[in-house]
Amino acid sequence: MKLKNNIVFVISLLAILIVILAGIFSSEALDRGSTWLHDEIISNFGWFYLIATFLFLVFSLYMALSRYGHIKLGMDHEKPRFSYFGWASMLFAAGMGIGLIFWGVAEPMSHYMSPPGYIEAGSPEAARFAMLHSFFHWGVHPWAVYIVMSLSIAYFSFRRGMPPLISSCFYPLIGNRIYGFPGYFIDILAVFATVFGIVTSLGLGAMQINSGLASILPFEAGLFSTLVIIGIITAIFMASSVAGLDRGMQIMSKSNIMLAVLLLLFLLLMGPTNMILNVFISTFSDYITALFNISLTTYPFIGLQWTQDWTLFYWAWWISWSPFVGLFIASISRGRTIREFISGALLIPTLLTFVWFSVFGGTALSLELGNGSGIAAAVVQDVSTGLFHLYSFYPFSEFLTLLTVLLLVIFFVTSADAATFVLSLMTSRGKEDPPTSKKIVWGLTVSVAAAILLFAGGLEGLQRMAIAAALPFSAIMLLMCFCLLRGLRYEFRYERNKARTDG
Amino acid sequence: MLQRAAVKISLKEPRKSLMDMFEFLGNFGTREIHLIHVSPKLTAQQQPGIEEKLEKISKDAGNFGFSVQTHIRCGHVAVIINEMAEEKKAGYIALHWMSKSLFRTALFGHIESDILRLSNLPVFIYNPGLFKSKASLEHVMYATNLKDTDGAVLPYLVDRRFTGKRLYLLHVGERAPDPATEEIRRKRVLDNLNRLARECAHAYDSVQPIEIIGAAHKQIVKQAAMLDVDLVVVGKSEKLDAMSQMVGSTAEILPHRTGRSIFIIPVLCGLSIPENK
Repeated sequence: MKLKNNIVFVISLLAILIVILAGIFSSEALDRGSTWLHDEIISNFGWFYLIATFLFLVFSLYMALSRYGHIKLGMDHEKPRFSYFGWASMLFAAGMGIGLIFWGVAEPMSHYMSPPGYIEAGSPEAARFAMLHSFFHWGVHPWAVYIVMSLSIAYFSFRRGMPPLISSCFYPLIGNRIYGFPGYFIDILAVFATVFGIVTSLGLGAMQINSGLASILPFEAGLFSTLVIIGIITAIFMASSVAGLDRGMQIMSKSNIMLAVLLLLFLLLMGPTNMILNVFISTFSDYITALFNISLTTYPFIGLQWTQDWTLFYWAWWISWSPFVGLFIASISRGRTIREFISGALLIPTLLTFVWFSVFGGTALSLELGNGSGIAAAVVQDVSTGLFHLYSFYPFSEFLTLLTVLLLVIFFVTSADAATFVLSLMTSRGKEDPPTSKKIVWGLTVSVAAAILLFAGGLEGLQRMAIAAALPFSAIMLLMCFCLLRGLRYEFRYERNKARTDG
Repeated sequence: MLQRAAVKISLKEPRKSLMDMFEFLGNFGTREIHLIHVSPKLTAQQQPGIEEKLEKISKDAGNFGFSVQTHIRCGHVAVIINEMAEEKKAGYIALHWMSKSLFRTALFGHIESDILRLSNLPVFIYNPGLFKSKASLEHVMYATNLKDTDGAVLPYLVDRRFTGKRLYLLHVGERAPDPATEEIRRKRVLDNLNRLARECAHAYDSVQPIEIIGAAHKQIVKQAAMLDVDLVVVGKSEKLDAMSQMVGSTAEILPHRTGRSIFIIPVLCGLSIPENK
């Protein structure tokens, strides 16, 4: 193993181990440090996150609608490796899946119970606000963030023949220095954000699976059962990761989407169908109308704290997730045109997300407004229990809980599988088929770290560190937009025009 | 083709610097100069004073062996200078560059910039830099885009009356999006620069191609300072992208930044067949 070829791997692994050790032996210090860093960033650079995310959306739309739209993310003759269904399933699974299950009920209920100061909590106005902002936080903006990252990587690697790394996107700007310190720095930062993000997700998600299972099975949720769950998930995602994208990941994503749609349909048909459809139509209309306004509003006079706690937190979270999701989405989108890629990534998951929120959030709000179901109070007590509480109003609630736990497990496995693949890719200089040994190293690092930090405390500190990484990344992503435009402009100016005149 | 020059005189130019400019014009083989003073408002009382000053400058210019005519006009300075230059069939317009602060330029505009923007004739801008004077022409740098401007500029560069000794051919390009394409691009650029160098070789003691990546206006300024060139030659294209239409083309930006004399040759300028060196 040559050190030069593995410099990103060695440095990032060592640095991550140091941070994780800090989390184990000094979880309080990590907590304090990360809280300070997180709060400083959110309060001082919140406006920057809003502008950057809005610009990513504008950039994505411009790319899809401009003359660059028909450029292929690959060679001109290439065809997409995955079918539409397989591609969309993996998009959804990697980008949103797990979060939606967690927040589908919890987020609208949280906004309903604690809206910003200018709205009365628990009022119909709060319900409308809750649905609109759930759409907003999970709508086109996160996907625009992912699109910027994945589009740049896909263009520079599949069309321009460079390794699928984030640093490759900077070739038009810094040239061969991408093979030096600046390039390593960008890739190491991406590895950091990915590991911190996936470790916290795995830890917190295992806790939710645990509480879901404990509500229907005769055992008490505790640390041991959580560790067992992490162990099982690790075994499955490692097997899937070693099996490769074509088999493991695709099959699991497809089956998961089918399960999710079945669950969605069941709740839609067995629940207050008319109310759900009304919520969907009205919130969709509110969302379209208010899109520009809410995209750039921090509510500086009243409600700034709410914006910092929710919107800015989400934007930072999506940005910190973007290296992982972006790289993964890029790797499954080879052969699609820019227009096809953007319209697919922007519309398909967003629409499914809106339907999901309308069904789960709309039903919960309908029950809450109608007869005070207590779901909101349950969410205030424990965010992860909202969904299971909702099921108690449906027939076959135990079966639904079991199905949801299964969904959670599979979504976790697909996310962890994708993360392992991406981490191995980023630390193998972008080799399309990264070595299995690295997949195993990263898989074990992520799982062991999640288990130990769950035991020692410090998971949330690590999550805040991931969010802190979003600040440099948003600047990096703005530069990526610039580089991508330069690359495309070069292609049009010097290659396409030349080919036309030669032809 | 550079024998006849239309020289804009504002009467605010420092005398020493103006004399250096006249001496410099000799490097282009110029024989005849038209000194043109344009004032937006001209009263009968001002006229004799202006005539007297122009006459004095005319005499000084004559000492350099030029045949000199003076003209006083009233109206929009940039438009009249261009019209007069065309009327007198001048080969180029010569200007003495007067730096202005950003604030003054933003508020009152910049006459020299307007002349440059409106002109279809080559424009020579004399700018020896702060506290410097330069009358000889040794090192010339042609900043080429390797496109449409070469056809217009090359005949001037190889003109036998153009007395430069060393020519630098500079191309500032945009880096290709990937290393393989970049290698091809660099090879293509160097091939083109070498071809240009061969075409100019007979007219200079040495010709050196230089290929650089970056923003054209920044790199031209940087290279001109590094190589300490006496004259920067650039072509002026009419095909401007959206950004250039707003902030000005490279040719229009350069005079504000280089602190060196510049010869700007529009692609559109009519050109008689030159006599080669």
